[in-house]
Amino acid sequence: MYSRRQFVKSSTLGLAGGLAAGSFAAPSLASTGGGVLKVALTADPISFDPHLTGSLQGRGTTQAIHDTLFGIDESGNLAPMLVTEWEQPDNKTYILRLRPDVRFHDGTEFNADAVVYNINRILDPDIGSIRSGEIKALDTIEAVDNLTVKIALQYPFAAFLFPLTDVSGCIGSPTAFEAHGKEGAALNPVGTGPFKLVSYSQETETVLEKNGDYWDEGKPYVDRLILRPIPTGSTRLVELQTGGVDLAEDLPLQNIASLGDQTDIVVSERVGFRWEYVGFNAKDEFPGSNKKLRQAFHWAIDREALHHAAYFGTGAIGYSGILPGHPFHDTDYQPFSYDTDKAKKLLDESGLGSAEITAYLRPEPVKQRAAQLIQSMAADVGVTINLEQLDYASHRAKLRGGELPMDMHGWWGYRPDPDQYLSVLLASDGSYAKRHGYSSAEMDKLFSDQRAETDPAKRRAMFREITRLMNEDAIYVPWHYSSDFKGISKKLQGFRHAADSIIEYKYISIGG
Amino acid sequence: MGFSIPGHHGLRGVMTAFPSSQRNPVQAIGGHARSIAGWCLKEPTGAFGALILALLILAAIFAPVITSYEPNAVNYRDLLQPPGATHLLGTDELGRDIFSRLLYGARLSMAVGVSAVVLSVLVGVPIGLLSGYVGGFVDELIMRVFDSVIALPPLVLALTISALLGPGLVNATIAISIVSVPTYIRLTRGQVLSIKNEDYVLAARSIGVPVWNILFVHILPNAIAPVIVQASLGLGFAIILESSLSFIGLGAQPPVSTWGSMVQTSFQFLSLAPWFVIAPAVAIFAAVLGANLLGEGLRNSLDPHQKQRM
Repeated sequence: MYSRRQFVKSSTLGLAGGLAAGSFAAPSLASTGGGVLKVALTADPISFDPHLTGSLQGRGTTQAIHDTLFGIDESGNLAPMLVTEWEQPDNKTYILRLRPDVRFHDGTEFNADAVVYNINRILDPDIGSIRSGEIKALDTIEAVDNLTVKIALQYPFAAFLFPLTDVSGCIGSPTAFEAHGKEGAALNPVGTGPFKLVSYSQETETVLEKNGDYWDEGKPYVDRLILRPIPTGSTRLVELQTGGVDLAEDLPLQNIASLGDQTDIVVSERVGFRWEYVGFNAKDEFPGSNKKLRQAFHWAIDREALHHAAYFGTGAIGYSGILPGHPFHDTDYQPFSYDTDKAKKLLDESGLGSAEITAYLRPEPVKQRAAQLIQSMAADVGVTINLEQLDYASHRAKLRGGELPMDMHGWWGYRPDPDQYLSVLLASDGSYAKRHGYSSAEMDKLFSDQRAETDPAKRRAMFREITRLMNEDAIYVPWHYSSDFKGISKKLQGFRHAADSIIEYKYISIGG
Repeated sequence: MGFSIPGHHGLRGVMTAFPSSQRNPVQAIGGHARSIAGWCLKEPTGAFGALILALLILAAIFAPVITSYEPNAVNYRDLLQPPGATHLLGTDELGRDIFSRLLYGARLSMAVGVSAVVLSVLVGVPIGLLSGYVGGFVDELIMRVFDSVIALPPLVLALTISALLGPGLVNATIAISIVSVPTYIRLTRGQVLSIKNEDYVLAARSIGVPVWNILFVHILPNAIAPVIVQASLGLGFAIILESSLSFIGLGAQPPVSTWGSMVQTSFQFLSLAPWFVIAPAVAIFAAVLGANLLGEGLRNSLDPHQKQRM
């Protein structure tokens, strides 16, 4: 049973409401009678083009339409999907064998040429896919025969296949891409996935229907999917409680505790969804250029308090960028505690004694609570933080221009391999590293070493070292792992809470 | 008159309420000033409005005496506590005393409101005097420029200006002033047009009194009454606008709070901590109600037409 995308950790552990473990098995035939599944998303998917969509909602919806090349199994390893078997003759070459007898929604055949076309489309500068960075190690890709693809890399890269479990690995019909062009592809998706797009109305609803010819026998179970963007958390919750939707994304954190005794709703928690840090800009003109000042924050912030006030006790305290549930995560790694004396001592050693930093805030409630607490904790050790609120666009502009002296918003969502995001933050050529003015030859060497290493145990040890160095340099001061919360009507069966929070609609059925 | 966006509806209301036949409102003000008690009896609702405003201003001034809690002191052990003996109005999402934040918020909300009104009167009245008195091309130019400001919805305009200037209370005050200024210009100009051909003005001109002297000594005192009424109504408008700007994050910056930013934060906890949203909302309501009642009362006593109707 590897032919499906699975969740990383046993989902039953994550369930607060006590949904019976049995309901995660394939639903019985009696409960496969179609129906309409209504879902409240936090935002509109906007685009269904797998190579151009950027948001979580876009990624989630496009993956209901397009299958990915690989899935992920319970331990976070690659699992078959459109690729059934694969081998690695040497550390720069992969041979992928594709699933036979699969057809796109437009009737054309899924084959090696389609895979080559899609990967080349990501790399095409005219398309301008934001995913091209994820596969930049690629040298050549070719179709060996109708169902075999050969990939050659420019340099060894152990994590290369992981992005292919997400939108980078979504395969769309080349015929349809050619017919609709770059702009048209956004709203005319043609994949091999369990659902087909029926209609899309911006900011109102997206309607998908079952792909009757889906290769995975018996799936999907529901006939129709209606996805409604509802930005306000409390409104999503009310819609779920009143039966307006059957499934709601991203429940408001402050309501989680009180939802435990609801009888008709199950709250599903997936730990290790995102990690949070306080970021510093190390460029000369900013106070964060002083390493001791940055290190002082490891001891100056009370992670326990932040956990309770900013996250209402949900999720977990964190000290690294490797999320709980990941094979590389180390639960024993707790190098810091709340210790204002140590923080003050580091500030004394910094030669600054005190400092004043401006931190810009986006209009996000969790971050606003966290930022005000951090502001108050920093004041206790003699660091003044001035908070200023910005809209999303201005904040993004400042971030991209590398003009944020301090950022309170650092968070990174789950990716199957930590290299996928830690390299962006820490390796000298990573965009976030550049924005934060960070460059370390030692860190770069650790990254190139772990990429060339194929033994997971050794990579695990190398990521420990990366984490240690990250905390010593303290450009990013990690403090929390947040969980993903979804609300599910009790009449649904087969819901799996994936680590990346993307809902796998094809396993869900509507019971009695 | 309702108090939804009183600035602009107020403009029309006030202008029609002060026909050109009005002669000497200064005496009316002087008369009432001699007997505040008498005015209170005659205009009980206006007096009630003044009382509300006075109480709010006193509460703002004496905030440190009234409450012992520091408004920005976080206490994560007492998050979202309901109202009780320790915390009169409960605590917010970071364990800060809501009553204390409300009082200190009143300082800022009132200060922004009053400064915005004073600023727009100081800018608007002289421009209106000049425009009305000089007339001709200058008048046309000034009027068309400020008509174009009036043509834009006040909240949208304030939002745009605030966004351009950057978030913060000072910039919010400037934005509110810019939005309010045209009202005072039009109001003053209208008064000047009806006064400038009066005998006493003509007499002053004929004996060579300088223009600034005519404007400020002879015309202004007779044109100021509707401006005073409008300023009172405008205070309510300014407080609402400041709250709106703070609500969307363009006003007070955390951890400092005004009533508007408190409503914004409390909004997320509506179902868990309803008292949290009620406190600042009631404060905004009371301040705007007070300003409007006072404005209505002043208008009733300053406008002869209103008196006849009564």
